[in-house]
Amino acid sequence: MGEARLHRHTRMDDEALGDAVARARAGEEAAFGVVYRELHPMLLGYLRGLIGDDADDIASETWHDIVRDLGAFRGGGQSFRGWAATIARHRALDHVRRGRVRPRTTALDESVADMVAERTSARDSEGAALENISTARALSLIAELPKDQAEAVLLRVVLGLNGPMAAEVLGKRPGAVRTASHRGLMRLSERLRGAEEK
Amino acid sequence: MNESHEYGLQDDDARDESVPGGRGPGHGGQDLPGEPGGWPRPAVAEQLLNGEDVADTDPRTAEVAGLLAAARALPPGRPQDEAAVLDAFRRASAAGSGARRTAVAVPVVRGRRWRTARGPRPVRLLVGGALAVSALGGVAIAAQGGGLPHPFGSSDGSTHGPSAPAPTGGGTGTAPGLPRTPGATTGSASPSALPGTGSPTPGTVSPAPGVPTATGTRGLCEAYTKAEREGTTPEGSVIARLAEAAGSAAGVDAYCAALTGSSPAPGHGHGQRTAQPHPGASSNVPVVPKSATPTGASVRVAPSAPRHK
Repeated sequence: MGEARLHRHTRMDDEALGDAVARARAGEEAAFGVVYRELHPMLLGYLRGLIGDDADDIASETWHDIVRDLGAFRGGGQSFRGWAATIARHRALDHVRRGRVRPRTTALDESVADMVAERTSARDSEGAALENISTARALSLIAELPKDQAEAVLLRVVLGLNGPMAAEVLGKRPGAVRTASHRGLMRLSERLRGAEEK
Repeated sequence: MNESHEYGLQDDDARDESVPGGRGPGHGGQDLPGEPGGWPRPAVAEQLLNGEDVADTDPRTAEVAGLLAAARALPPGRPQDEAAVLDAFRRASAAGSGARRTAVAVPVVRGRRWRTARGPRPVRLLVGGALAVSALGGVAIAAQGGGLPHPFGSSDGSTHGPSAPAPTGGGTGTAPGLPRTPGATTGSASPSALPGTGSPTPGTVSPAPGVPTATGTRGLCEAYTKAEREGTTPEGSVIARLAEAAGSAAGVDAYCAALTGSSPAPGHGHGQRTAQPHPGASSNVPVVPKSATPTGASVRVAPSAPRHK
């Protein structure tokens, strides 16, 4: 994994997202579609890191909440990301609390990788499946971090939140979240190196 | 990769790095980020987290950048989910142009964040928080024993009011048309579901038991509920009329649940949901939560309870 040249989801900038959100709020379906396609993969990635296999279902619930409450949302793109992440997070917590997350002893890698590979190979051509196996592995590596680190890294990296917004979502002090995310990176590096040595 | 990790029970201030076995080979804890010689330097870390290109000779930087880039290469979701959400949006918009605009209370701009404004309920939150903490504590413990491979066992983030615009607890949890709606009203039952946070659409709330105009719409509700159960899409006209009766498309579930008594948790989701919708407040960038508020404080304390196992 020496190369940093993997496919990168080209993220809408916050301004463009905020604009789409505003138009969606006004009822413009196409704009809502744009918002959805921008954010859904991120929410899925985030949720996958949090709760694994049930991410799709919880993401759906999240979106229905978003649709319901969109009219009341005020804010720009970054804050919309944060808002959506918060909803997803609470949905996931509800899910956990309802006991619907089954403890799994198998590594997240396998199930998620299989699932993702299956899904993408069915749809994409150009070797996306391969890439997404690494996505799954990357997500699982992040998910295995201590919880506070994992969440901080997921929010920053996967959802594209800035530091203060990630702290907002987590309800923690920005400094704590910053530290957690930096430690998460350090530990990820250790993991990578440990894996390579084998 | 199978080192023992501790998920969940620690909150942000806990020194996760002190977890035994959690550290990689060859490190004794002195190589913390930000410390001399430690990797990553804060500036590098921020660049990595932002997805910016980083000019750094340390090979670890490129390695982790690669990993993070992979994590960003996210596959799309299930097509049927997109269709369902777009459909929900369409219906909400259709209902919204009429009923919703009038029925939905105007967001109260109170505070500067996008969470919903809501009445004081520190006690409920405290109790709810405590319950959630114990419940989640159990999960977290299970996670430790059973290798639950995700970090979401802890409650520390779950219950603090500040970050909670969460419609999670909302009485209507899900919108009509979503096959999984049975959970909708149940969601609201959870004590720690951030009471009040969930209800940005008052329309979902109003149609509590005792709705006066109920009789005529009962049949519609039954048709609607049946369609929902069977996973089919209720007729547009049915939905439109129900949405009108309920005050918003999103409120149809709760409305019908109240009307037909089919609600899994009929008592929840109304009455106490005085919260006004209003994620937005006025600023684009929400202000950092005042964690010193009673709610924040109470919840922050709570997680320590299950922590010492």
